[in-house]
Amino acid sequence: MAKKIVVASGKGGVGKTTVTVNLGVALSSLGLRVALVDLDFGLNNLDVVMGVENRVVFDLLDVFEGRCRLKQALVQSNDRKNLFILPSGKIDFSKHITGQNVKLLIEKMNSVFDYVIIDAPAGIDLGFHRAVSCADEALVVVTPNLTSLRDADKVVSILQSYRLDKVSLVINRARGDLIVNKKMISPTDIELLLKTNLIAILPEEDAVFLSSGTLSKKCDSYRAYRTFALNLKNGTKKLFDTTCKYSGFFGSIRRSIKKSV
Amino acid sequence: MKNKSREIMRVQNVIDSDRLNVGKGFTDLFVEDFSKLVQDYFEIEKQPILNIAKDKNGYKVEISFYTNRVKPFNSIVD
Ligand SMILES: Nc1ncnc2c1ncn2[C@@H]1O[C@H](COP(=O)(O)OP(=O)(O)O)[C@@H](O)[C@H]1O
Ligand SMILES: [Mg+2]
Repeated sequence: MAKKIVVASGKGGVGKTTVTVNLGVALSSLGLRVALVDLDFGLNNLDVVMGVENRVVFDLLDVFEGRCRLKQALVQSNDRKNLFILPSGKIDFSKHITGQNVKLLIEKMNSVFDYVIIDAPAGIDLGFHRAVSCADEALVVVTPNLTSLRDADKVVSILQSYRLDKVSLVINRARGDLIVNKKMISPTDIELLLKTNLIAILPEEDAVFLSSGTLSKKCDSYRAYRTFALNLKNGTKKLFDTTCKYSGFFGSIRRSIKKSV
Repeated sequence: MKNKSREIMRVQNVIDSDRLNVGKGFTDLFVEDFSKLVQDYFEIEKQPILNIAKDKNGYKVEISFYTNRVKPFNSIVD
């Protein structure tokens, strides 16, 4: 049985697609079989962030309308045998697709994958509900600022009306230097404000912005995503510490360098 | 510190007022349903009044109404 996880946020641009891809990569490097499903119709970017856009032949609509089989629409990652994506297509044809359709399709992946991760659209419209209705669990991505937190709170309360097994919080773009300087709301504060269990803290890092698909093992984000994947797999709650780099003597030097750039 | 705690307060306030903002439709419907239930047990002349206020434990929901008489139990059954 695949675990089906929807990645939601409320506000756009906070990193849903980025989280979907990098979490997928991290889970697949633990040896798990992973499919990433793009349900952000029209604003589909999953293939691009994965770096496989040139190999997309069919998409979800083709599967629904019988032009190809599910297996043919799945695109394998460039460097991982156990990671696939299901692209959603360039046009917003979502009006013709019911939640039931998508749900049935995702059910078909049950036996082939360990994890199906669904990239949901921003907002709380039909597309969001369609994506959530396919899932057993939800991840709510937030960035540490007012607008994102406010929207996330609404999303969390809507998610509570679905019978999901779990709703967890993912904090993206955390800046250790700003948290140490008390200029950014800390992860603990966010967890308290949203009254939702925190499952991952992901640092803000240029490597994430610049990467397509795979993060270098040297960067913080690689370790943060690995911790995240292990939490999901084992039900643990280890959180990546963005602040340790900026604490102590060397930390204060790093902080002032960061400030001056 | 002042930056951060002010920011947290601000987020908290915005989220609180969002959570509380249930709209008139919601309160009207709730009061209507609730008064149906109340009228099985009490004689009331005016609709119950609903009050929601935030305190440190969450939202305190108070419902108040006046009655002149508790209905005899038998009348509930038939
Ligand atoms: N942790 C991060 N550090 C740096 N850049 C990030 C991070 N997370 C996301 N981004 C960048 O932010 C932008 C929006 O992310 P995206 O995943 O497309 O958001 P969404 O899918 O929620 O609209 C992208 O350019 C992405 O590279
Ligand atoms: Mg996206």
